[in-house]
Amino acid sequence: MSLGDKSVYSPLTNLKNLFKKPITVKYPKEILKVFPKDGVSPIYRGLHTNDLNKCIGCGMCQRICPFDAIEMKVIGENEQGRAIKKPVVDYGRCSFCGFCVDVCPTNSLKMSRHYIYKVKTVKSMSAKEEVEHIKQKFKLMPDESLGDDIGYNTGKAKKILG
Amino acid sequence: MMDSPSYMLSKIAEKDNLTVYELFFGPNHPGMHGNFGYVLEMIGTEIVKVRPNAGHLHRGFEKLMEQKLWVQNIALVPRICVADPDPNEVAYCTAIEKILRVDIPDRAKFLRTITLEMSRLSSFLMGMGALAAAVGLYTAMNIMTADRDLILDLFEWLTGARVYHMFSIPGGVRNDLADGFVERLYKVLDHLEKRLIEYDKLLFENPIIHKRLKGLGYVSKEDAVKYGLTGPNLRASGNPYDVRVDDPYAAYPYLDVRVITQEGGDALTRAIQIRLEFEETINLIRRALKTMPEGEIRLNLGNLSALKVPKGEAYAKVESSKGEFGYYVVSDGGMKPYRVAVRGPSLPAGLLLAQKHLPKMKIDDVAAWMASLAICPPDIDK
Repeated sequence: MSLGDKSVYSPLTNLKNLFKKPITVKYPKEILKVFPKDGVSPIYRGLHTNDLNKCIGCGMCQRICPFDAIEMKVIGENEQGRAIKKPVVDYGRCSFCGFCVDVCPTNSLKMSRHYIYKVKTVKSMSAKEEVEHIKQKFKLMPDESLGDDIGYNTGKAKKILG
Repeated sequence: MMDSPSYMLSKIAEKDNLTVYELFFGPNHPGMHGNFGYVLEMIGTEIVKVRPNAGHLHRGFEKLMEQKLWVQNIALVPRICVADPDPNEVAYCTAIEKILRVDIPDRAKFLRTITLEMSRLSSFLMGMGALAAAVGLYTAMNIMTADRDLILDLFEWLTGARVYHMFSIPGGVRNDLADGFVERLYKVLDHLEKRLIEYDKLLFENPIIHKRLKGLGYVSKEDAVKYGLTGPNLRASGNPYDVRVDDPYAAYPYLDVRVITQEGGDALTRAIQIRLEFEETINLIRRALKTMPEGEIRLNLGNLSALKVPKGEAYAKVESSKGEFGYYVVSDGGMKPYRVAVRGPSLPAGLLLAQKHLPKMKIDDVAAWMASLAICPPDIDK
């Protein structure tokens, strides 16, 4: 049993690895170098991004969500005194199925090609506080935007749902 | 043999009158494939009695599906088989289309077929890797896991997600092929075909595999039918049955599917069966890509988020890499399914055949036996 005819010196080829940079990375520092955005699919279903000017707060995304990950949060009042609601996505529940994007009537909700979401924890926190902190931070709030790198979206294409 | 550890252990057990002890094989055992376990009653290293220990997968898919809208369930069904998720989506959507009495566009059928066959490739790679790991050939497993990643990359370009694609919806599929996808797929298929030579040398011609698997878990031609085995396990016992040929769905009526059967019925035959079908699947994807027509990818069924399926019931079956996946869907005319029953391919082998095969088997062979029958526990615990 052999895997082809290889030279007896073939183990020495590993020596070239001495002069190469390591493949492993220091995660938070080198993140952008290692995961270039070009490698991600153009229709990748990553973290959400919502255009607040377009969003009418209809709540269709909340209704279609299979895992109850979207909550409509009141962010203010309009001139008539009615509450303005915008979606908040909880990534502890989200399954990245993209039905909320399919159903959005104004195409304001889209998915980006970002897939890394990091939460900074404070060292002085107790374990219980830290859990609560991560729970609150592991959400996409209406004022956060990842709009520069759009992945999965219905765009001009024919609507799938709704 | 006299001084082998297993022999010594059984001698010690006899001497000390330690007749039977219980061993929990799973859910936390490295040889177990998921949230499932066998409680083995053993003497020494020999199994006397086996008790399947199911119920660790907490989801309760069938009941959960009754509480969700028709279209919401598409995000749930792929989770019934992690390694091979697409057959679930297609079977569920086909059952709904049968009740609705609609025929989806041809291009959608071909797109579904291509995803099904790609999913089969990735699942076979995982299955062969699991078999290799069960007998200690980790090099083969690592190579196969790396090759599986290429298919997952293709899925990412086609559907937007790597593992749970949620690609089929009632009436068709969600996206058309991305730009340059076909070329990438051809490249990966060529690569996998070249790799087969390496797999053969590493795994299928390896004397370790032959010694360990020959004669293990023999299923006769009659027993395979009696116990309800399907898919490669059934065909490895000499029964020429394939859902893709005998009850075709999606684009299989337009494609010439070659059914591979082997006589033998032991674990080694089943391993070689997977390898032969892997080669055939690569050719099948090439044929599907060549004959794929242009056209619509989705039928307009109105607003799917408010889809109402008329009163009725239907059964749809799909050939997955492990066997036949069946969905029996009952609708009472409402927004949600009245009842969905899932027929998983692992249930007969994992629960019934285990009671017959595992007694008198050595503990070392259990992981290899499970991998050879491709037992995927979520089907059991649905």
